[in-house]
Amino acid sequence: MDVTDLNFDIKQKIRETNLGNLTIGGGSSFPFLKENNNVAKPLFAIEIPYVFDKSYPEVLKSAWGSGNLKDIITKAESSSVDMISIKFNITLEYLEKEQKTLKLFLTEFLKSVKKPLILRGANNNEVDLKLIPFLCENAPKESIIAFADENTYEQIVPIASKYNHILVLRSPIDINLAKEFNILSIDKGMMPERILIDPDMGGLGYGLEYGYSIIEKIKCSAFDGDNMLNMPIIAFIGEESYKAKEAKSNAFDKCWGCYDLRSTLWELSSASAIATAGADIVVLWNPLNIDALGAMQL
Amino acid sequence: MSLTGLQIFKYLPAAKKAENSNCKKCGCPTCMAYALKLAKQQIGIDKCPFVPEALIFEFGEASKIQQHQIQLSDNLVTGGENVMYRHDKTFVNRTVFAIELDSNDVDFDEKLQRIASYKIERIGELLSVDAIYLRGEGSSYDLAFDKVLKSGLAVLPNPKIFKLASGSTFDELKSASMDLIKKEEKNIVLETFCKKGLLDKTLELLTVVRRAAINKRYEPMTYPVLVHLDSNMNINEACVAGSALICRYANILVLKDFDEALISTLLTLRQNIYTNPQKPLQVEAKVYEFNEPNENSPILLTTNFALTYFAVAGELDSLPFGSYLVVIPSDGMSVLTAWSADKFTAELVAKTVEQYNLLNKVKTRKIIIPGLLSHMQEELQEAMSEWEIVVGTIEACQIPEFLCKN
Repeated sequence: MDVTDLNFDIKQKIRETNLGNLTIGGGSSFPFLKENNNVAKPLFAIEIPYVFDKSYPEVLKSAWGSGNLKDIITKAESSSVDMISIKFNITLEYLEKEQKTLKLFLTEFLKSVKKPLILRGANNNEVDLKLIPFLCENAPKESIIAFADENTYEQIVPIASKYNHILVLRSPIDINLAKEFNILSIDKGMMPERILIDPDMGGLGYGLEYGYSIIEKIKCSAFDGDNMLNMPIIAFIGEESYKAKEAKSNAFDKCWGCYDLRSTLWELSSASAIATAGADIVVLWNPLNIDALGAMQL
Repeated sequence: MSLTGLQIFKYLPAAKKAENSNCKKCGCPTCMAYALKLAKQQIGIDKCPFVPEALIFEFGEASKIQQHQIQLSDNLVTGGENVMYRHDKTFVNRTVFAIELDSNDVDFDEKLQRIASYKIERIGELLSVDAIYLRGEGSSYDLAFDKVLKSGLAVLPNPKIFKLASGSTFDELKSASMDLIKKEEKNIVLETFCKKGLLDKTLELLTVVRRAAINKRYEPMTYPVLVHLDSNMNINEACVAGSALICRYANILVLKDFDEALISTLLTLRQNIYTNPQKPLQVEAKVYEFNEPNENSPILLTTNFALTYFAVAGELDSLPFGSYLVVIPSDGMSVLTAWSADKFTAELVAKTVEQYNLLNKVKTRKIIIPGLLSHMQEELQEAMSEWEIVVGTIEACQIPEFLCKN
């Protein structure tokens, strides 16, 4: 009794792109498998909001130990995380009034940050149509710009490609929409090598399985030869995890366990699951989870 | 994945219009009738004298089991998986959660009680620990064994139910499993350890074992896999490893320590991953009431997709005042999916609201719609002129703040 041929047959690898000295993508199987000379390894980013508003959980503020943006970024810089994401959760009004402050922050302060950057808009079409071009122009180096969606890509693609940034394309948890969106953006001038797919997934307990399966499906199609789906995948799982009540409220009975711990594990579990599914970049919110995931050895 | 009637028919004389077409020697009127019966296993492959070797081989391969199913207790089954990815069909039997206990532990009773009484509710379902992985020997073990059974949990390992084939590599598992197969053991569980810092090795092993079972029906690997998490993993490492192993192929997961926060997190992930992707979870479409609403309580509206419903219901339930939630019958789709599939039309919403006779029940004339459907506001307003359509929040978690402000 013997069995052979248990390797995963692939027709192509995931596209590979560089950001600073990091390689994104390039995998030839799921991250923990050594077959096909696989080098895939999920990268982890930590996301910090530009403004610490009410939606940012207290438990994270205390995890950072400070509410000062620059101090926190400096702490992130000295951690083992692969990249730093700044979410510019600002209003149009702020963008107009405080353009100088923002510009200084980008061109002076962020310039001193050595780790690769993800610069993220406000997740509001109206704001992002002005804010994201501004971020593209003033980024201190080639960065990941997040994100363009079906309403904003026509304006964002030209400017992101002009500065050779990597652009995140967000489409709503659907493999066909993700593919169509890649094609449309390439038609508008985006280099396929500078695209990241964002399946806009939900966090643990709130539809994680949909995004999880879309990631697996996209990877399977990519390995099977679809060259409009073999871009690396990014998932903003920190933000999604901390939308869950379970991660930010202690109004649960004792079977749900210690709140501080649950709040950390809630994100950690989602992150581990989607890294296993094949996400190439996993964006976290909780700094306590950086080391735990680093120890994943994937 | 057995052969279909048509796949079988291709091998029979009638398909090739050869000699002995529809000879009836098998007792069926035609070769096609025989093929259909054979596909349903209602007749033997030996009844037809003209079956070619190739079909016998194909048929044998296709009727081999991919992964055996083992009944661990009255209501606990493990194994029986038949796909590599949940999107191929669905995963079948949820990862069994077992906690390791030693019968000599001085706190045995207390620990058992804490584990057995553990339960949480999510999306209308009670979730709990399934089993105790019991260590120990002699009379204290026998006593502990009975205590666990009485507590309602299953006991692992249980030699009366299955035998363990242990190993840390594919070849070790294979030879342990083959030894048991030679002894004609029917119920086998493959056992392995996930060591601290070596999660990638375990995931690789489990993936290859699952491929051998699902894609190759390679008998030594067609049994459920039990994974122990190393006792020197800290809780974060156990969470990372446990989560990855729920996704990638542990049929049974044995945890060394019991921690409520960890278990509630992992049970939630298990519930997510084992949800059947072909059948969205739905709730009944009707008007739900929270905290005894009165005629002035706010009315919200959403779809009957279970996740959406429970996210909204959880928030409404936590409020210090009453509210109504109108659930539209939208085939279990989430808000935007339902809208784009025409399962959440203004016409349907108007009809549903009218059918619930809300106008006579309440004084308020405002209905709050999901923020994701703000583009439907005008259309809904036209269809429901008695009501004022108010655009609510995009996320359920913003509802309390929204309602307190309005």
